[in-house]
Amino acid sequence: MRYLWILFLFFLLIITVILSDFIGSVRIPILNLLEIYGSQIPFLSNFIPHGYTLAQEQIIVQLREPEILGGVVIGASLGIGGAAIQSIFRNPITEPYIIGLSSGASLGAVSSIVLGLTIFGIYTQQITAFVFGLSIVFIVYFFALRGGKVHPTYLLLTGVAVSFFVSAIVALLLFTNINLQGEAFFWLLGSLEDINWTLLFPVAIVVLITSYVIYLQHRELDAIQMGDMHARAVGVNVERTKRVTIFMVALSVSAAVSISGLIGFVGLVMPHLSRMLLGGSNKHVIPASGILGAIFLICADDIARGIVPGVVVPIGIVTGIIGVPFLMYFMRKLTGGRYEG
Amino acid sequence: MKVELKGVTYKVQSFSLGPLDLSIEKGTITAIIGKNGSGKSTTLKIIHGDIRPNKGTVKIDDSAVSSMSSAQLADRTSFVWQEIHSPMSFSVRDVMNVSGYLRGSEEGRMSEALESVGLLSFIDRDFSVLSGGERRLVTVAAAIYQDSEIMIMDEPTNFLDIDNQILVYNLLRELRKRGKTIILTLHDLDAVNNLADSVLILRDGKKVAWGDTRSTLTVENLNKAFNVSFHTYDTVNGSSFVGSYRG
Repeated sequence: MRYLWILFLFFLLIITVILSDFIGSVRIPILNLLEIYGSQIPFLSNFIPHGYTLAQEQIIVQLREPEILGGVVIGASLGIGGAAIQSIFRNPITEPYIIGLSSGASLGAVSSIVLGLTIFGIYTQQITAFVFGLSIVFIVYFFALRGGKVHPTYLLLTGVAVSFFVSAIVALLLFTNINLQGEAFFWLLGSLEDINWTLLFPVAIVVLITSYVIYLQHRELDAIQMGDMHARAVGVNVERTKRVTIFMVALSVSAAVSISGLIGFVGLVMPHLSRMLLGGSNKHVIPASGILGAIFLICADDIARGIVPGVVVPIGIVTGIIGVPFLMYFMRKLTGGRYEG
Repeated sequence: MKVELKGVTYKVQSFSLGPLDLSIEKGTITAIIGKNGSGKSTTLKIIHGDIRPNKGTVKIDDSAVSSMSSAQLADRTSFVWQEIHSPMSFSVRDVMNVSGYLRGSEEGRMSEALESVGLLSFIDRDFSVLSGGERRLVTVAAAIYQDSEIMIMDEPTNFLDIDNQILVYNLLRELRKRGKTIILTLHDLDAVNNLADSVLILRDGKKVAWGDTRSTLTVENLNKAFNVSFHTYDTVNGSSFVGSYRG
C-alpha cells in the first residue's frame, strides 16, 4: 500500500512537471510540447515530427525545463535532507538549515556579491555559497564533538549559535554595502529563475548520489529516532550514521541552495506530510519527502511566475504564504488533529 | 553466555557505585534490587557497555564489553529500557523492525514475539497512541525479537497491571528455559523471590548482598537496603513471605 502511495506521488510529480511546462508568458500547444520532449530523446528524435518553432523549442528547452527540473532537484534535496535531519535530532521542528547550511551559504553568496569576487567566473556566487555552506556545517559538527560523539541537543545548540554568528556577519556586510542589498536580498529569498543546464547538471548529480546514500541509511535513521542508546543496543553504529548523514545532507543542500538561494519551509514540512500519508519509517518517509518536496517547489515556482504578470516573485515568499495554510489544512484533514510528529 | 564483572567501580558527581564483583551464569535470571537511586540502572548500563566504569572490567564469555562494536554487543545482548523515545509516527511494526536491525526482519518471528505479549493485533497501530503498559509490552517483545543470548531489562513490569506483570514473569521463565540469560531490575520483591536465581542488593551504590535468591533475599539484608522494616509471615496457603507492610 505504501509503495502504491509512492508510485502515485511519482506519477503526480511527472504530471506536475508537464503541466508546469505550460505556464509562462508564451503559450505552447500540448502537441508541440510533446514533440519537443520527443525530440530530446536519443534515437526517437528522428521519428518525431517537428511542428514547433525554434523559439518554442528554446523557451521549453533552455528556459522552462532547467527551471522546472531545478525545482525537482532542489525540492527533493530539501525534502530528503529534512527527513534525515529530523531523524537525527529526533525533533520534528528541525530542518537542514539548522546545522548552519543556510547561514553559511548566505555568507558565501553575499560575500561574493559585496566583494565583487570573480575567481570562478560567472559561477563565483554559486561556488562560494556551496563552499561556505559546507564549511559552516564542518565547523558546527566539530564544535559539537565531545569525546568522539555528537549529542543531538549539543549539535542543535551549536548549529543555532554558529548560525546566529554567521548571520550577524551577513547582516553587517549588507548594512555596510547598502547599494548591493537588492541583489543579495533576492538570493536570500530564493528563486529558480536563473537556473540553466550548466548549473543544474553538476548539482543534480550531487543530489542524486547523496540522496541515494541517505536512503541507504534508512534503517539506521529509524533506530536513531528511538534514541542513540537504543540504536546502539540493536547494533547500529550511531556515530558513523550521524557523520555520514550530516555530511551527505550538507553536500546535497549546499549544492541545491547554491543555485537557487535560500528556500525555506520545504525541508521542515515535507517530512511531516510524508509521515501523515505513509507512517514514520524512513524507508517510505525519505523517498516520499523527496517527491513531495519536488512537487511542492514546482507548484510554488508556478505561482511565483504566474501570480503577477511579467514579475517573478521570490519563491521563498510563496513557499511561506502558500505552504503554511496548506500544511495546517493537511494536518487537520489527514489526522483529525491528532498528529504527534 | 556468562557475564562477569570484576572490581567494577563508577563515580559521577557525588554518586559512586561499587566495587562490584559478579559472575552471572548462562540460562539464569538475576534480579538487581534496591531503593531508587541505589545504582540499579547504572549497573545494567555498565553491563551493557553504555557507561564505562572508572575501574574494573565487564566480560561476556571472556570478551571485554568495552572492546565490542555495537553490532557485536547487539548480537549478544538486548536491552529493555526504562524509558523509550516515542519515534515520529512509528507503528508497532516499525518499532519491531528496528530491533530486527542485526538479524533482518522476519514476519514469522515478529508475529511470534508480539503474540507472546498478547499484542499481535496491535502490529499496525501507531506506537505513540498506546498506553504506557502496552508500550512496555512492545519493548519486551522487541527484545525477544532481537533474539540475543543475554537480555537486560530495566524494570520491565513498570506500568503493567497485575495480569500483564504475571504474563511477563511467565515469559521470563520461558526464556530462561530456552537458555537465555536475563538480568533485570525489579521492585516487586515477591516476584524476585519466585523468579530470580540470584539477587544483587544495592544501597547508595554499595553492594549489600549478592548470591542465590534463597540465601540473599533475607529480612536482614532487606532491612539494610531499605528504610522500612521487613518481616516474615505466613500467607493463607501456609507459605512463608517476606513483606514490609501488614496494614
